[in-house]
Amino acid sequence: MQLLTRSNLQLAAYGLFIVVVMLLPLVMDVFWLNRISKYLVFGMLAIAISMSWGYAGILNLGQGLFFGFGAYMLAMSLKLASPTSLQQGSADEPVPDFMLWTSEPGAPIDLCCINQGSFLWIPFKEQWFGVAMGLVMPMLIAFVLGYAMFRARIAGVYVAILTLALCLLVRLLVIDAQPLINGFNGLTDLGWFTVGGLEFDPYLVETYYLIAIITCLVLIGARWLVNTKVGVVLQAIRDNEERVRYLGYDVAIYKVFFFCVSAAIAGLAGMLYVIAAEFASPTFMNIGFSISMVVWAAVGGRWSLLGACLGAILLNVVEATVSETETFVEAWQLIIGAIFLFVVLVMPRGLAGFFQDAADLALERLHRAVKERRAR
Amino acid sequence: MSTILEIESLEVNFRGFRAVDGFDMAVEEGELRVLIGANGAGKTTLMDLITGRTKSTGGKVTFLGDNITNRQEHKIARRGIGRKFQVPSVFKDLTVRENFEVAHTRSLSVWRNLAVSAKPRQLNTQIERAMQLTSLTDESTTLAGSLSHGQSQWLELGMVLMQNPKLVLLDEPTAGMTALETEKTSEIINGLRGEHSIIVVEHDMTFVRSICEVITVMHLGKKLAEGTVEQIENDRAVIDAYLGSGGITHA
Repeated sequence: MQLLTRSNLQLAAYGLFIVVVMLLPLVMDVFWLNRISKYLVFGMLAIAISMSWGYAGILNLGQGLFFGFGAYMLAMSLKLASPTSLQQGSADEPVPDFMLWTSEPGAPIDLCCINQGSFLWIPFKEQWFGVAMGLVMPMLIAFVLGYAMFRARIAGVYVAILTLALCLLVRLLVIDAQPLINGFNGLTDLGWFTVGGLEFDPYLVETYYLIAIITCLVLIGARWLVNTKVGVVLQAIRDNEERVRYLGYDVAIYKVFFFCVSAAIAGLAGMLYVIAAEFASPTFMNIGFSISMVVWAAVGGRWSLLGACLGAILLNVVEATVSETETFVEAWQLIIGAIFLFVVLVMPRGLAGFFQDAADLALERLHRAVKERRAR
Repeated sequence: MSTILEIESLEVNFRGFRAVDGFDMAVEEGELRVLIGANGAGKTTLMDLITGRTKSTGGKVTFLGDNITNRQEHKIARRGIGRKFQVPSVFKDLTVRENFEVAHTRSLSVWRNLAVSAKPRQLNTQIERAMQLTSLTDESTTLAGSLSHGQSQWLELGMVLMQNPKLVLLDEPTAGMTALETEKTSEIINGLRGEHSIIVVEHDMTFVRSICEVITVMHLGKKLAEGTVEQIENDRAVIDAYLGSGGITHA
């Protein structure tokens, strides 16, 4: 058995990543851990992009929509768990503060009817309902959107335009929904996510571990998924959709499936972000944010799940350090742009592709050297 | 022998242009039928109509007793019609073996395939046989994109056979091949005779002679003639239609 093979090296890279992520709390303070946990969430988003863009060839420029939905669903539950926000209502009838501020005079102070849509909040009193919705809603939207698009054989740049447009449309609706979800200001002053008495204060090591473990599980799960036959069929669809169709596969269903999985990961990332950052806002659905996700994946290597994930983390760490260094305060965006340009021009397969090529070359040399020595 | 595919007065109207115009044809089980005709005669369109890629505007296609006219492509494929495209259509970023794995479809459902590994340890015997048949055994880890033109044609042919289709449609399987490759291809196709019914679109008359039983000649979307090679070569209508190009042999 060869020990040094390409797939073993890949496994080792995954293992190393997980070990490093798990050991970080030993060397970092909670302030940086909180930051890194947000970057891990971004890493999850990049994994979702890598799955849909790299593996399935579906360029989704509206991933922020799914992220935003996940975030809002959990934020609604956490808002109802926030003591400071709720003390403005009566103690046994929790009503979010902003609803009171925008309510009509004389409206009953009750979630059922303080305004027209407020009853929708009632089930969110149960935190797990919010969590479930944070997964179900993105998947549901992805299913309807994906089914409509892929049945009609919409592909390529039109998918990018449609998803982008839908994301912006929803963003407008969110901003418009002042009484229901506090519009432009988003949901702030949230309570803590609580499991069995443990409150996940964003500046706790436990919270870092919650996010880190889920990120690693998503990474492993995504890797498993692309290594099943479904994953290969999907890559085949990316290469040549017609051919797959005439082999008898229902191409649309396969695409819808991955689109939904990608949306679910984005929704999960949205929820974790709310736990780490303690707010949800319409900025999650900005064009810039959705495009950033694609940039992270492109820099890290969209054909590698781990690469895309690392790309997101590295770019954000660089961004944070550069933007806070006094010399670069004015120019940090230029630096990020330059990194992006450099990688795309010099390493079209991203950092992961670059390292993979280097490893392949090293392995080849090594194996040749071993052979020669044996021959002698 | 019974009829496997029956086409009755099939017609497609592209905004006034009838690419296929009242075409009739019946293919028997196990038969190898060659379809010839000048460029624009409607051969590829006919294949598109049979496989559901183009929706017909009239007429009927019956396959194994089922009316399959205008059904969805994957459903027609599942019913047992395999198709090889004119331009080699393989999965360029996947290895030869992965190409075969995708084509080897025990199940087509997403849920079932979640439980199937992309790289099973054991090479499936069916895949192994297909690799031997197409002389690609040594290339199993090569990316399909770096195969030669002839090899990718064979790979696609092998993939189509993995489906074990009852009827195989081959659109110019020897296009762009060297004489040696053409010979090998006619060997492969001859080997399939009897097991599958086959319809081949072809220009190369040497190739046609080496494999052929019955030829159907298409002209301007209609059936011009049908018969053995000798019958066709002496057919008045065919000679007239190919007038100026020295007869069918040089078509």
